Amino acid sequence: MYYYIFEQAKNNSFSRKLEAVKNIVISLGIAGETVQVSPARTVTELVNMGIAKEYSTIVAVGSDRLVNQIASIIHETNFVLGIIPIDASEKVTNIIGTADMREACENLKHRKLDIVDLGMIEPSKYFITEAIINAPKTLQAYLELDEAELETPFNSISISSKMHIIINDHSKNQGFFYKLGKLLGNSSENVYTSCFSSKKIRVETSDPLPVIVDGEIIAKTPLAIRLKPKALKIIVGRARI
Amino acid sequence: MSEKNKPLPGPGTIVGANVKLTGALKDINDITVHGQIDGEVTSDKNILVAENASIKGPVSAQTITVAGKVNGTINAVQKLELLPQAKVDGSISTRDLIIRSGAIFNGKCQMSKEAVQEKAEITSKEKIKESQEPNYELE
Repeated sequence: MYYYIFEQAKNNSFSRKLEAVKNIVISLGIAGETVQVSPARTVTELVNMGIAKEYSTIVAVGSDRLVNQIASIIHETNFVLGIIPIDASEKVTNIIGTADMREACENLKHRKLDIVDLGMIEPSKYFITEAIINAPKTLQAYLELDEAELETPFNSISISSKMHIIINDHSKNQGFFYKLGKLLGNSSENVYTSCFSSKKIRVETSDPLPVIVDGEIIAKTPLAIRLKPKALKIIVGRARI
Repeated sequence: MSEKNKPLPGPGTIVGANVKLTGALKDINDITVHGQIDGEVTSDKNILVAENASIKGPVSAQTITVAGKVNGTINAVQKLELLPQAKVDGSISTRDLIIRSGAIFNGKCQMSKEAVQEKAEITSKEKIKESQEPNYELE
C-alpha cells in the first residue's frame, strides 16, 4: 500500500535519519516498498514505477525538493502523498502539521486526508511550497494580478502555492543616509515590502530572471502562475484537520 | 460579490511605497497602502492609507484611516479617521467620523441613516432623563 521514496542522502546525519525512518515504519506496521533516489534513478522514474505498481500512497521521505517533485507528478490523480520530513522547511511541515519524523510516520498510519492547493507555472509546472525570483540588483517588475496591474522596483518576489505574493524592494535601503540611520539605531517601519493575493499572476521583469523552486530553476521570467485549487490529496496530522 | 469574483483569502494586502498600481484592489482582509493606486480599493475589514500614499478612486471598507491623499469617494461603514497629514478630495460617508486638526477635506459628508437615527435616540433619551430629574430650588 505504501511506496516510500527516500531522498538521496546528502551526508551521514541525513543517512542516519533515513535509517531511523525505516525502523519507525516497520515498528508501526506500515512498512512498504522502499526505493531511493540516485544518479541512476530519478524521482520521476521512481514515481512512475510506483504508479505502475498501483500503490495507493506515495510517501516522500526527505526535504522540500523531493516533496515538490513528487507532488508535481501525482497532482490531480487518485494517488495520495504522504510526507516524512527530513531537513524540510516550515512550508512543508506546516502543510502536514508536524516537523517530527515519528509523528509524521504515525500520521501515515492514521491516514487523515486533506486536499491541498498547488501553484501552477504555466503551462505545466507545479509546486507545493513557493516559487522565488531573485534579482542580483534592484530591477523593475511588472505584475498583472486578478483585477490590477502594477509596476515596482524589486529585489525578490516570492509566490506561495496559495498564491500569496511578497515583493521585497530594498532600493531605498542601499543609500548612504539609510545605512547611516541604521548605524545610529533608526528602526523605521519597512514601507517598501508589498503583499498581495491573487488567483493568477503574470510576472515580467526588466531583465529575464530564473524562477526557483526549492533550489531548482524551473522557469524564467516572463511567466504566468495560477492557483490550482484542491489539486493534491495528502496525509496530514490529526491536529491539522 | 459573486463567488467567482471573490478575492482569494490571504494574510492581507500591503502596497509598498514604490508601487504604482492601476485597477481594482480587493481583499477580504486589511489593506495598507504606502504607494500609488489609480482605481478602486475595497476591503471587508480595514484600510489604512499611509502618509505619502495616494489613491485616485473610490475607497470602501468597514474602517478607513487616511494619512495620505485620496481623490475619490470614501465609504467607511463603521468609522473614518482623517489624520493630520490627510488630504481628501471627494465625498465621504460613514457612521463615525474623526477629522484631526491639520487634515484637509474638500467634499460632501453624509452620515449614515443608522448613525443619525442612533444619535437622535440618544438625544431623546437624554432629554427624557433630564426632564425626569427633580428640579430643586434653594432659598
